[in-house]
Amino acid sequence: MRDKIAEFEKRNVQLLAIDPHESHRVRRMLRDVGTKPDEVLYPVLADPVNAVSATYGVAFQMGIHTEWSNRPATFVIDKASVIRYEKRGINFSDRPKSSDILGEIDKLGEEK
Amino acid sequence: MPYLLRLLLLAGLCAAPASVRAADPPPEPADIIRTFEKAWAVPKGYMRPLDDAGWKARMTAFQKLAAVGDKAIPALTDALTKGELEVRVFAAQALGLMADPKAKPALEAALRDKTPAVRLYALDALSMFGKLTPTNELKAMGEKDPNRDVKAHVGFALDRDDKPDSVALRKRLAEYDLSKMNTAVAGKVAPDFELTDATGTTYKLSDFKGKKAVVLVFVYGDT
Repeated sequence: MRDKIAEFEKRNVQLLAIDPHESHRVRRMLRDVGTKPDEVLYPVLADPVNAVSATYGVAFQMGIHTEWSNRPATFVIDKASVIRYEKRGINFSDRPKSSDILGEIDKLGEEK
Repeated sequence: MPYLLRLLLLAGLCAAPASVRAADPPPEPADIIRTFEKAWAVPKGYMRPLDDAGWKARMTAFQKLAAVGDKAIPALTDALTKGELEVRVFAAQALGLMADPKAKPALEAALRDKTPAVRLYALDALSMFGKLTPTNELKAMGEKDPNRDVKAHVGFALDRDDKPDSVALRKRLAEYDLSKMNTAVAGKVAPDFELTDATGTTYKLSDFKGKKAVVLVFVYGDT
């Protein structure tokens, strides 16, 4: 995981994860996977009312853990803030591999 | 045409312009919930289709109820107590997003609902008044509830490490601009947002503009 993150850092890319819950749930999730909140490799942002999930068209679309959660999704946004890649998953494990995302980033052809 | 019918029609026609002139009254909370119920058809399987409109109905109803404010609470407790399955789930979730002490008795009763998602969201909602105290009922639920997610949420409600701010949460929802729904499109400028991470640091997407590309990953909780 750390090596994969290094690949993103090498390309001067910011990773942001969005979790459709309150921040105490984000901290709990991090604790459960054995990570201290200040040790995370990239920010996990709390989206407590699912507003960002709704704006990005993924909110309340997957019934998982007995909740209506967002579908898994990945967006690549270039330096000019334009969306260059979007992937909305059709099942809980349908997400691009990090090598796929790195490929999309390299396609942007932006300066490091 | 019989005279009486004509008279009624005329009365109807005369009434129409007056109602158009009047400002639109705020929607009745019960109507908001009914509109959601009609639009939220249960999909087959756990994943709604990519072109699903139900999620928009859910978000719209949450936002509108938050905008109505306190007056929505009786309709929501009523829906939580007497609604069909999907309406009870919706009401429990809504009451977590707009916590109000008036809803507490109904939420406590909902901990015994036969539908796991209702129990789960009722736990979340009750924890919006502060970390729950481990009563015998809650301890038993944490150990014996047939649904393992419900058991996990008992833990979340007993262990939450913050002071919930239900007013801020409701305000955030009430102020959400529904016209922004589903506006992230490849080739277009990414919709801006500002969110806070687990340590309290705030990130604004547009702060990266001109500096870095961003990879945005939507996770669903415990991945």
